[in-house]
Amino acid sequence: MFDKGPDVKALYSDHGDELLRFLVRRTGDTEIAADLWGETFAQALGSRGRFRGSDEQEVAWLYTIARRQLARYYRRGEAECRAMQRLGMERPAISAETEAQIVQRAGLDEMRDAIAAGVAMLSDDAREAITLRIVDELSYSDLASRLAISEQAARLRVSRGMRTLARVLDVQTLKEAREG
Amino acid sequence: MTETSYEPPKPGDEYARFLRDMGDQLEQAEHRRASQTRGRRRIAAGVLALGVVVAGAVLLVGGGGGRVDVIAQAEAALAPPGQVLRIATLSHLEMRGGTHPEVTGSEAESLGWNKPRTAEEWSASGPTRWRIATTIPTSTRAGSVTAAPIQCAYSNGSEETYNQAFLTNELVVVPVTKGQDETSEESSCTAQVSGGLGTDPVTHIGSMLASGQLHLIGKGTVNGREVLRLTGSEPRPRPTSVSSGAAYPVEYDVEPETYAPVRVTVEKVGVDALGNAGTLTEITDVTAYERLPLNETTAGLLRIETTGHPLIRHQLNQYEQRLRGAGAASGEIASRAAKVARSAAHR
Repeated sequence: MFDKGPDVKALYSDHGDELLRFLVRRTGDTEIAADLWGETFAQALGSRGRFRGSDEQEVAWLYTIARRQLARYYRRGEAECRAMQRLGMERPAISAETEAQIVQRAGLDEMRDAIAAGVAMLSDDAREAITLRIVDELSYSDLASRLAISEQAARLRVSRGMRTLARVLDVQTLKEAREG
Repeated sequence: MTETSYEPPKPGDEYARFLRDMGDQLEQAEHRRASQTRGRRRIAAGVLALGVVVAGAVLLVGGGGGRVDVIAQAEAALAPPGQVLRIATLSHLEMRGGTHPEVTGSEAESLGWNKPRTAEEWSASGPTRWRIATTIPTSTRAGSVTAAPIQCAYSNGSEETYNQAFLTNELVVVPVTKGQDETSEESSCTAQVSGGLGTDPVTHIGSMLASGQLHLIGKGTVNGREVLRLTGSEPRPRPTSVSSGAAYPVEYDVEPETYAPVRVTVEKVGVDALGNAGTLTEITDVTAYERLPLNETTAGLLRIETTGHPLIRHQLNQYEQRLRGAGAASGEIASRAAKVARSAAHR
């Protein structure tokens, strides 16, 4: 062992698969999730000397790094590979068969279905407004023109739809928390 | 929408092989890191021995490379508790070896590549705090590009980004792991907005020298100042909008005594040079590098002070992240997940 800190290889053996599923479910994209996953372990390897917690906190520490990666991804729209590059690591390519297995193991299809069902629960007006605003990226003024309503009404329509979706997603969050 | 029950991957299947390959990568990286650490220790031990013989900075030059007493000098150049380190920079892009040195054209203009950029950074240790004030090129509704003020700051485990580009000031608070992502060079915000020097460039230069990523090639002058020139290559994953994250050739021109940076030059090899055959090169001149006493006035320099328009504070908490991720999983709205989540989480 060349420096102190958690045994990252052991953490990988015990939690690598689980962490990948965690990231796939939070990104909905196996390639991005795998990049975040590799970067998480690379950062863990690079920073383990600074870990000051107990053995019991090692897994939480690993997930903290992963969540940090996720937050950056959400903010910037791309996964970072800086630590992997620094360590000369190359994340293995994902074959079609591997991707199918990852999607299946992460329950991604079921999750997509559930969210699609959440969208389907919305009123026609809200669903259309959200689709135009989120998928088509229309500005609120353009959205208002398209729907022939005031801009304020457009904002309200999107807002109400998002609240409904948020409740659907929050149920899922609570469910996962209980199962976790 | 429950998670699929977990079964260990079957030995020999594709997924098991994928996991094993990643494990191998991790193991090899661990070995490389171990040998790098041993190398650094050997250098440190050698420097210590030489320090007995040669007082002051130890410099061995020869054969186009060099070994430097990076540890002592880096420590000497750090802002100790009770001081604020201030760094000001002026960056610009040019085409090295191209048909013309200027970065020109409408595309360059729309990306803000043709405009010099200033940045100013203040940092303190014990506890770690820093703030950077700079500008980023931002498209206006009218289609023109303006230099929009932006600030990034870190303190007490959180990173904030303050963007005054539009009518509303936004303060985004991102939790930062204590001791792990505290330095500004690890910040996704500052890597996008500054010349890439970070809060602690001397330590960064020192570690690059120690690991063999930088080599001393000689002396020279920059803006009338005598400097040592260090060259090497360095991953640049997040500087501005011109990089794809590759390792680029870098030159650090540093003060001979303190190794404080005077100029940093990064050649963006392989980046589309907008029709010019040259290499897009970012040159960052350090226009100020000074230590200030830490007092009530200078402590204020470490904090973001918002003025003018109403302030919106975003907290990227776990709920929002979860929401964003769930939104991303929807086939219908996957590509717009972040916007969905941001909108929903703020209701």
